Amino acid sequence: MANSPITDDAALVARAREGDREAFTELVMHYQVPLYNLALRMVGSRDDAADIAQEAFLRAWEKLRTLKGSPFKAWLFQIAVNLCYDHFRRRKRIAAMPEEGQETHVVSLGLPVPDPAERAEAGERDRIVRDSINGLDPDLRTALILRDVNGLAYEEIAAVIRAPLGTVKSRIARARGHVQERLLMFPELFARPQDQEDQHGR
Amino acid sequence: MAAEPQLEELSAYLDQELTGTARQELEAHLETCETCRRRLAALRQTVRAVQALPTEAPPRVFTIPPQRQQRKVTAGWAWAGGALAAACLLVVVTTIGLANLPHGGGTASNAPAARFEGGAAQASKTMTVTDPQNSSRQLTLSTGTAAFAADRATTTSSQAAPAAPANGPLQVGLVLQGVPGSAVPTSLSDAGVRLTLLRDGYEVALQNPDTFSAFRDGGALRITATFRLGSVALPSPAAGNYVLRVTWQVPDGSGVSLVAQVPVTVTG
Repeated sequence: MANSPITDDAALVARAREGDREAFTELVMHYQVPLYNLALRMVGSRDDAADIAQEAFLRAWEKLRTLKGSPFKAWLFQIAVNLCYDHFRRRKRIAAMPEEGQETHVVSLGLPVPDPAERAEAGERDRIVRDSINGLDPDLRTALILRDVNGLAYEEIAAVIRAPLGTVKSRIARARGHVQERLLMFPELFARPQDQEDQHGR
Repeated sequence: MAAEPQLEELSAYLDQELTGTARQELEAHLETCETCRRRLAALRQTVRAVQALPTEAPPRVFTIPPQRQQRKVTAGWAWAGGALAAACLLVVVTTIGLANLPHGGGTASNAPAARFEGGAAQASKTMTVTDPQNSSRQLTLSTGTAAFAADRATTTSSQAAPAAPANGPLQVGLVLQGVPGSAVPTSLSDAGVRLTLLRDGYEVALQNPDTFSAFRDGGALRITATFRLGSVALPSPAAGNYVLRVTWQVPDGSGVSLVAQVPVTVTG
């Protein structure tokens, strides 16, 4: 377990609690990519994910003095997860709004691209994985994303979702089981593993 | 060995979250059980597929505007329903970000940390995008805060005289760098520029600016346009967080577009 980031956080949090905006900006810079990607995989739309991440940082700043000793990271992620749940509730009310999905106005900056067929296949795989995640119920989705997108340890996830370790373990496993079922419907993209190494993986 | 491991155990094993005896028992079982080795391999493949989703760069920098104070937690964020009578709209810039948006690719190839050195602490009011193929070509988008502050005053005074129009104009500044020729455009579309406000999948075009001016400044084309949002068909309720996006179709037949965007908040 790398302890230094947490220690760094604690020092920055202490300064930020005194109103030091630069210290808080450092925290923002440190967590903006993981937090944005958490929101992105949760809600699926870039604009909404950016709004959620922005709002999470604003709330964290405003409420920083209520944070008592618990790790900043889990607390920040918890705020973002709650905002994602708010978003799901709101989405039910404004279901008439069009789904943004993948941006239609794709901007070409003329970046070099790999072989088109390969790229299309990778894009298709990503799309199916994203769809499988979107098909999960929010609790399972949250657990899976915190683990496999954000790489949080079970204990951290437990702190974020305020649930016992057993619940974390079970939600992650069930989420993976569901995703696996979906992926196996596309054998051409997700081949069943042959007798590969049974070494313990990462 | 003992009973077939559950999915949960295999999953935790992959995460190295299975401890001591449980782990040893599972490993012993895997030694002897072909089926479970396959189950584990399939699960590992699933996990890898999820982990392989690209990490994306945020489309903007997240900042805390100076007016947001600690502990002053207001009851509702701009989204909240309630007091959003859209009668008078005031545009406030909350945060401004940088972005370089090859949306199609979606990977975080532009490490964001490199882009806001020295800029993140003060909510930068400007965003610049550079054409990666031609670094002399740049698009800069800015929204004038000074103008909004003045509008605030207008709004206050208009509350005493509700008949007066109170819509704060949205002021947009653009700098197009690397435009061939010496022509000065007479409209946004003439300049190959499209401005939109986005929220929740809605994209509303900003057309017919209240004021429009453009001039050449060396190799750059500077454009200023203002819009009264009261006449724009915003989604209802109109108040909320939007993204102001500019798309510039570079007029040289290269098919290159540059996109810049900044968040704006419309308050009721």
